[in-house]
Amino acid sequence: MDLSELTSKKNSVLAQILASNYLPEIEEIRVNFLGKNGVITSYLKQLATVSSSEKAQAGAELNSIKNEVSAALDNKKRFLDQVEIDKKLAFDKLDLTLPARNIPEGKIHPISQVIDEVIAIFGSLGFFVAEGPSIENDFNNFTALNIPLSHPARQMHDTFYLKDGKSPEKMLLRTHTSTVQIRNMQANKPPFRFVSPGRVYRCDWDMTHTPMFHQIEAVLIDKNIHMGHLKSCITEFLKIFFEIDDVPIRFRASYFPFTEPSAEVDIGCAWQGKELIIGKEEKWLEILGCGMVHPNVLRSVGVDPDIYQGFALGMGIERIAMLKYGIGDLRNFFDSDLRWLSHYGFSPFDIPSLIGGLTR
Amino acid sequence: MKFTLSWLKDFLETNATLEEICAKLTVIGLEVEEVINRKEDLADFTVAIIIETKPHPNAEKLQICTVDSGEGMLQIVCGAPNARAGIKVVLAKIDTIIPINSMKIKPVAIRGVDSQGMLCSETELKIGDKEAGIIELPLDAKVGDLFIKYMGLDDPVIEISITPNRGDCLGVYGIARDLAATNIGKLKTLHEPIIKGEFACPIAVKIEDKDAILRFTGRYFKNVKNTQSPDWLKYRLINTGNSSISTLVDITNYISITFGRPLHVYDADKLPKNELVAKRAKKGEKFLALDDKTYTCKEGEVLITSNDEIHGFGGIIGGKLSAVTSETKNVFLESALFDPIEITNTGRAHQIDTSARYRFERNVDPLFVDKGQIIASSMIIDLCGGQVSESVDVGNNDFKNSKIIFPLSLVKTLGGVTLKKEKIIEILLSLGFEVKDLGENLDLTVPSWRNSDIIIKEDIVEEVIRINGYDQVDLAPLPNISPFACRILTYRQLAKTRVRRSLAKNGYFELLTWSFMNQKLAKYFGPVNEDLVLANPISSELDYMRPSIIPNLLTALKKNKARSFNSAALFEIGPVFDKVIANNDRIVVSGIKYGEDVAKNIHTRPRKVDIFDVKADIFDFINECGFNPANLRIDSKEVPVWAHPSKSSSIKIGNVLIGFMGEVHPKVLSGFDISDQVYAFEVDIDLLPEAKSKKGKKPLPTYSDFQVIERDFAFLVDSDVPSSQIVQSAYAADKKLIKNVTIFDLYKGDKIDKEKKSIAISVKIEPSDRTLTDKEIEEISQNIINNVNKNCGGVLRN
Repeated sequence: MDLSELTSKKNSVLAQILASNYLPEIEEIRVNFLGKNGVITSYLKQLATVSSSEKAQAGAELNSIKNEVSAALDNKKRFLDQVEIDKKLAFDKLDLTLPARNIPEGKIHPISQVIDEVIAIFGSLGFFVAEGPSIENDFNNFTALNIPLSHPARQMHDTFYLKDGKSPEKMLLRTHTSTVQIRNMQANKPPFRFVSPGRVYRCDWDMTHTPMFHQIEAVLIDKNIHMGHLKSCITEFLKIFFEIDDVPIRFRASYFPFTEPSAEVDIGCAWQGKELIIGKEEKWLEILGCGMVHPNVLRSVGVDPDIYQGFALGMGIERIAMLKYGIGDLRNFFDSDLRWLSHYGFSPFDIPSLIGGLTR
Repeated sequence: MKFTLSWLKDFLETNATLEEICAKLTVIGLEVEEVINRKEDLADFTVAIIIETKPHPNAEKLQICTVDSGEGMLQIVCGAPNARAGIKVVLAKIDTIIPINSMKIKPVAIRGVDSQGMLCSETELKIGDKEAGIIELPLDAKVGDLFIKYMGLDDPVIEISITPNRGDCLGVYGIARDLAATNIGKLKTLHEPIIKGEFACPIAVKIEDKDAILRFTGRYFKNVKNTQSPDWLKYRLINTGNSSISTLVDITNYISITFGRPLHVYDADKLPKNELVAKRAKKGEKFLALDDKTYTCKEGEVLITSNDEIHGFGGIIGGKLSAVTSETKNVFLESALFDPIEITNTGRAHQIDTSARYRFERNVDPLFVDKGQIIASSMIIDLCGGQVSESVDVGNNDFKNSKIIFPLSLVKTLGGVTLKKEKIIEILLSLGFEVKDLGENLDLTVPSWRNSDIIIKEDIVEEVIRINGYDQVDLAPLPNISPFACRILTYRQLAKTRVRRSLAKNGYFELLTWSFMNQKLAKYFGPVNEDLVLANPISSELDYMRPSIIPNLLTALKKNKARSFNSAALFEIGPVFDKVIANNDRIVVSGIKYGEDVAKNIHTRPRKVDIFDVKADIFDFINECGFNPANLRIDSKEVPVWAHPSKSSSIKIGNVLIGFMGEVHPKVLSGFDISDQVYAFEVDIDLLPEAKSKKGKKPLPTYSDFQVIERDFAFLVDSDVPSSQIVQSAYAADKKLIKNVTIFDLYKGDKIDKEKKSIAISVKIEPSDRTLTDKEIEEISQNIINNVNKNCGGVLRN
């Protein structure tokens, strides 16, 4: 059996396959050469006529040619398929510069955020959170805090009163969160270690005062607490809150009816153009008031001042928020301006913690 | 409290600099608020004399002055009406900077005439408020001299804030004493003049009501001259923000500022009778005071009268009728002691703020009544001439200093400072205490000027550590709490945080609004409770404790709408008020949503937000708080007053009402002048059931690997059957196997009965231990159909 003609046919088919760039053409070649009525089939039919001694060799050669062409066809088909896919993908091109779908974005108010920050710090120092009501009686707001009716300190507070005709005494809106001190100490037994954040009210409204604002107060009453503990608690707090290890702190003597001795605390800062930089020792800014709880206050809540003593400190949330976040105008906090809230508000995922820094 | 450095140095011998003195004042509790040191600002200004003036050819109001600066003649154009030849003036030469506007003087032509400098007014130099006219210096001022040598301007002014307990530091002398205790200087011995009365006092002094006035002393002066004060006195007063009125008045002010001792001078010739009587007012009596106002007295107020004519609110303000003038010849000087509470009450009632009231309220030194009178008398004789009478003195004179037994250990155990006994004694002695050493304790006599402030042993600790310096208190680590429970926040406190962050995640902005609101708008949220109206609101629009936060959110919506926010979601967590007495505020979360769900964009067509958006947000935060929102009851029978009656509902857990949600009533919206549809909710955070902490544990999972079957059903039910009832009925068909029931279609319309609606549900059946047979599935399906039929009257649609 002469396969030389087939070999030359094979070569020409391989050349055709190589040259073709059209999938149907490749299919046509496959049918013509390998198909039921194709070239190889016709040779296979002839194989029956050859002698058995030649049959084996001729069969092997035929098979080899068939495989060679089949492989070439497969390769080309795979190649052309890929080209086809590439072409189709290229045609489907999507403009990824189009905007992303909208994800609604809300914000946490800076005051809530700062309260959470302060709680995180005092929490780490072992202080629990205690709360109390906005509407208070005179005893909790003044008398129990060693501020008798005639005391000049009462003039420092511009108190809101309710018209309320039913209560035996005139009810008022608390002027400080120190009322929670009284409530919490009356209801529990010493030692005490708590912070109380909340709304407070004073009848004053101008550039630097709003009729409502927020305070947070920390109280620690135990058997051997002194000014040194107060100083370290405040130092620790201010370092963590402002995230500055060596923030300059100044304690100076002051007066509050509910503490003795009393102090006010300043932090060092500097103006750089319009920006206030905390942590420079150039100018002092008042940040909080504090002192050792006055024995009369302890007595008013039934705690024996000869056994227990301790400290209280209080500060304005708005003030520390303004200092930390460079907020210029107090009134904006209560303005409900979404532009301002977008700018100064916090992401819901900004949950203050001491392990990753208090803020971003 | 303002004073000058030289004033302080009259009593304090010190080499310390101004800065050192100020720093020390602040740390000992006398906080420096401002230091005005004009030495630098005014260093370049000099004394000059106007030689001649001639009119400006091109301007009617300007003059051309020839000025002798001491270094030569200058031509200066000046607009001051008092510019005239012969007066001594303050000259700003070329390159001098003017304090009021920080402008540098340059050679200029003013309306075509050259001007080589400027003649200055008080306002331009920031030393006074006389705007019209240039400063006229005394005629003996030396031309070419530095201006600051005149008018006491080279004396720095220090302003400190005095806490209400430190009445003793409302006098320069007291401040000097406090400073001396810190060893920054030495307190000079106070020179006490001796006054010998030349005649008996012709004015009889009486106390009609014993409690009205504690002590009443004084002297009579004959033939005084009440003119201008000498420069040193005048300028000290002016530079510390007081005015110089006349020598007699200036002397009383000087004694008040120097020693914190208020005095009053009466023109004795204007008293109707030779008497001054301290007594209580009858209701309605009229009093013409020095401030030219007529006050109507309240019953029992303390008055100084003469022949029943009122000449003073004791210790607060004197009377116009006996005011001293430049013609005054004979005067009575009063030095008295009043009860601080009486002073406060009268002062508050009539809103009279005087330096006398301020000092008496903060307790003056009861033992300085005479000394103050004597020092003032000596000044009157020196500066006004005339003859002085003997002293008159009535009232209680037996003041007793208070005593404290002070345990020395307290300096360490309360103050946190280790100090030697000698140091503690030294500090207390220099503050004026009498000290007796008892070993472990000190027996202390409190100085009269601190009598009302220093009462208990803790007060002594403050004195010692404040003078020693708070910076000397060493840090002591806080004691550990053991056992330390890691949960600082209660469930309810934590719930607030969870709700807040959940809503912010869902696109809400957190607001903080006033706890009070406009009473007129509050009526949309229920009847007004008169008890919750503020007696003294800051404005009539903030006169009522809010019964709900929604009104404030609506107000905020309106504001932001005006700032072009056409869609937004707002919320606030805070107190609302329905009663006066409570142990804690009722804390609610309120939110509103309006506008469209997304901004205009390429991917989706924005749609109007609706109540189901809001419902999703509520469910999300309820879920965050650990309560399965599927167990909430949405009850549309009970709806809030602020909401659309048929598009709102209450939210309940069992029978407990925890809140409301719904479309805001059109009537309310029009009351707030809002044209959008607004969807709102308000939920009592405190009423959420406390989810007990499982300490992180979760039940074992119940999902299985067997095939999940989904079956859809459409039911025809009466229109008013709540869809939740159909869902619940489907669930009830097999509580074990049915894992989910979802409504996916709701139809009302032509194709069905008008009174009916069609609801399609998809039910997910999940076997736990084997694949279900067709028969079993068919059985569950039939149960669902039966249940819906039985509970809701639903009929399966074909």
